[in-house]
Amino acid sequence: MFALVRAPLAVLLIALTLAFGSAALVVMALLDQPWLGIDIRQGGRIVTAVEGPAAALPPGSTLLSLRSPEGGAALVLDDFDTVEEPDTLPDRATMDRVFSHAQTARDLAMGPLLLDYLQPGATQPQRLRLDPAPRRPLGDLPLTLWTQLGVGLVAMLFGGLILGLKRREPAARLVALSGLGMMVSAHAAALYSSRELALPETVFTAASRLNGYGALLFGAAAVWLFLIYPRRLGPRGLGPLLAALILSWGVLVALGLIRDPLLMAPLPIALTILLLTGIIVLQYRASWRDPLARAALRWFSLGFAVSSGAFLLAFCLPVLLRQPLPMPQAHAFLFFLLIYLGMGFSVLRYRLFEVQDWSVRILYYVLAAVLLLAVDALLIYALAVERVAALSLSFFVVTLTYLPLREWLMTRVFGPPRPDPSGLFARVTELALSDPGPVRTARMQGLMRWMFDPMRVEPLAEMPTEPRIDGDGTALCLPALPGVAPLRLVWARQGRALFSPRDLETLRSVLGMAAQSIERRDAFERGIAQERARITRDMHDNIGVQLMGALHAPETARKDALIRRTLSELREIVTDPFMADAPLEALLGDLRAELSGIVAARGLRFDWCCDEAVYDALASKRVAHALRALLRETVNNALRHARADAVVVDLRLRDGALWVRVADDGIGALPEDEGAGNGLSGLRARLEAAGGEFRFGPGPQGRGTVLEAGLPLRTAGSGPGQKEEAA
Amino acid sequence: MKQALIVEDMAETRLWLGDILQAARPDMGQVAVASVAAARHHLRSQGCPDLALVDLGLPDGTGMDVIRLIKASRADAVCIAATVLSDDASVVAALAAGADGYLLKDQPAEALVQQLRQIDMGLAALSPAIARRIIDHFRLTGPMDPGGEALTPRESDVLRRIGRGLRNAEVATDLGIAESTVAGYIKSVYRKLGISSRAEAAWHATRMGLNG
Repeated sequence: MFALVRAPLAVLLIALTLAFGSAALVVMALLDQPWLGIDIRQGGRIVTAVEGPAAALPPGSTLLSLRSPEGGAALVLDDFDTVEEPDTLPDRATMDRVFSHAQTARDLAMGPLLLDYLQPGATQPQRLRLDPAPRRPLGDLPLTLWTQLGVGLVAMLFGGLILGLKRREPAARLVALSGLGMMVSAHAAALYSSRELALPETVFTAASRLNGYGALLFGAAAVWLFLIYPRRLGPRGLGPLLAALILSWGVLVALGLIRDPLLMAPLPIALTILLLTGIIVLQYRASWRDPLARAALRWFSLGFAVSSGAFLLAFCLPVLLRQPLPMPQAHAFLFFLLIYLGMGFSVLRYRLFEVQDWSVRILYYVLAAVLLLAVDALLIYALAVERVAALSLSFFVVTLTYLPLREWLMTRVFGPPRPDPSGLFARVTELALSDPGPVRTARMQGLMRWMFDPMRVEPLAEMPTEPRIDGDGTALCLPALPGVAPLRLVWARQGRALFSPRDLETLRSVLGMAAQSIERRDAFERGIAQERARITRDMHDNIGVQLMGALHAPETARKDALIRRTLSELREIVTDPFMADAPLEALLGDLRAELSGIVAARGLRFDWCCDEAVYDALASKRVAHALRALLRETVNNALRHARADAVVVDLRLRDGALWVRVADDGIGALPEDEGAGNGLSGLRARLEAAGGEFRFGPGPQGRGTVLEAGLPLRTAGSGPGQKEEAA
Repeated sequence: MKQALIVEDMAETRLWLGDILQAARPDMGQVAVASVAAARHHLRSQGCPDLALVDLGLPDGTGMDVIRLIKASRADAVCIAATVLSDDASVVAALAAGADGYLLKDQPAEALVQQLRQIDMGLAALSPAIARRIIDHFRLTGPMDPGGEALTPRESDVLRRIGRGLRNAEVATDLGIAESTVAGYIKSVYRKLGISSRAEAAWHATRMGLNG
């Protein structure tokens, strides 16, 4: 329960309950008075328009007195009896008389009464008998009542909101306290300034006093507030001291030591407002070098200064100078709405009191609820709609107006929407594809300008690891990315806003995106570099060596063969993009076609036996090259030297190694033939480098030549494969 | 007299290709040009040749463009792609563009003459690498190309065997069919290749790196 009360929403709801309760009390007190149904111009006795019990009263009549038909003393009315604000009365005696007249009028109006009046232009008073209604109808309450109640509500709404969000902040407490003072003052004034003639003396007196106390409380809290917010001015105790001084005036009034109406409220209020204005000017000057405080202060303090100043001019000064008021006090109260407008704007735009975005949502929900109640009440009372129907109707109206309104407000308040994805994607991609260093950093600066429109983008000397908000939202620091120097953005949206946690969130995801894109590009570049390295190595190892061989080969046929082979290897290098192990199927297919072509061209028989498993076996590039060299060399040897009729190639998989057997039925060769210019020694070296082994000798029954070789395969767990290492 | 067109940008190669063509088809008249633009001009002014030997790498485009032009103006003209270092992919692309066959220019002259005669006679020959590439092509484009035709099981059998290095005669023996039937299957595969890849031409060219 305690935790619930501490929740921001709970504090706000308590504040609003207080405000609504107070407003309800005022309205109930007003409705509870007997009603004559006369409409009197404020500060006079001339009836303007009449309805209700006194409908017979001609407009423009001047009221003279009220009396009971049963006799007794008449209540002789004077101009002061309809005064809007008793503080404006010339002296204490008049004030007390006005209070007691209101009580007398109430007592008389409890029954039928006789009303003496003067018709316009007439000299003889006339008398009207009327039966006052026991209660005043709601519809008769003037608009000024509602505006004053509204000012009090708004004051409590903002006070409660700020207090709820920042309970521990002295400034927030003072805002709430000033709101309370404003509400008490406005609601008290609403009560007595909306009376007809009748009001219990005690209520009138109390409300009049409360009006003054509330005003003093508001002033004291505001003075204290601006002595500590945004900066502390003067010594620590100055705020409480001045506040106590202002409040002590109220104590003096309460104790009856100050009795003059002018001195009771208008004078201390005027002095407080002057003091407050001076303090705000000092605050403004003090924040000269602190743009953040200044930005926050601008609208907030402007609201205070303008509204208080206007109240001073429109109410306090005329009263003090005994001049007629330029406007009803109720209207002057509306100036105070400016305070809360300014406060709301600063909270939303400049994180006044460090309030976060979500607080605004609370505000919106409360607004919706208030709107709902208001529409509900309006429908029930003004249109006399049944309760259930009214509720559903108001739901309908609220949904219809509130949701679009909220949407509109949200987008207005939270500034520019998140960057649009397509533009963002294009910019991040450009950034990632640009060259690391100054170019990429410039692209990053461009991206940041596009996203946040900061006043400045400057290099950052330190190396933050995470993006962060600096200087209370005036700056945003970016960590370095590969090829991008760390940056600092100063003043978001050309100084119109601060960097918010939302901006930080957006930035974090954009930086993540950029880092990933850069990483991908780097991986791609590495891939290109590797491929280039492969081509270079293949060119050197195969093409270069073969061409060299062709250059030094003595016979044209050999030259041609070597060049042709070089070309076919060149084709393989261009075609084959793979570094990794590949299945033997492609290599064996090509070799079989090539060799059978050559063998067939010489009119020999060519047999090819190959296990199915061999085609699927994986071989490293080295093994593949060795295999190719082996088959080409041995088949060519058979063709050139053996005088054979047939060549048989046999490929099998055994013990994880590829076993190759090439046999011919020619004149046969001996192991010592190796090294006789037939390329066999080179072949052995190549095979052994690939981890293979090699045997060479006469065929069965001494016929022909048989070459046997074992080549390790990647899948091998035993055999020659153990000698093979990653190529 | 029948006409043959050679499209080849290297002057020396142009000369010996001419010799080979002369040896294979002495009955034909020859014209040689060195670029796509020249080939186009020749087609406009002289009409379509009966046979064309087209190098795939040309200074102002690819041989595929020329093959398409010739096939568009005369479907029964015989187009032969000639290449030396071009990868298998570009040969498959040439076949898809409508080529009736191809020559690898690094082979001995006698072999080239022999191949040229065979193609001209309607005997198709495929290297294992290109057969494998065609299988890949159908495997990749087949499902995403509803307009194209898939390979029949028999065509796949033929291609797979050629991919393993079997010669047409060996394929015929292996499958128990005539060698000319094997050639017929290969021609049918060429045709399907043309159909299947027409819809995918852009994708194909990009994938094979022929656009840049």
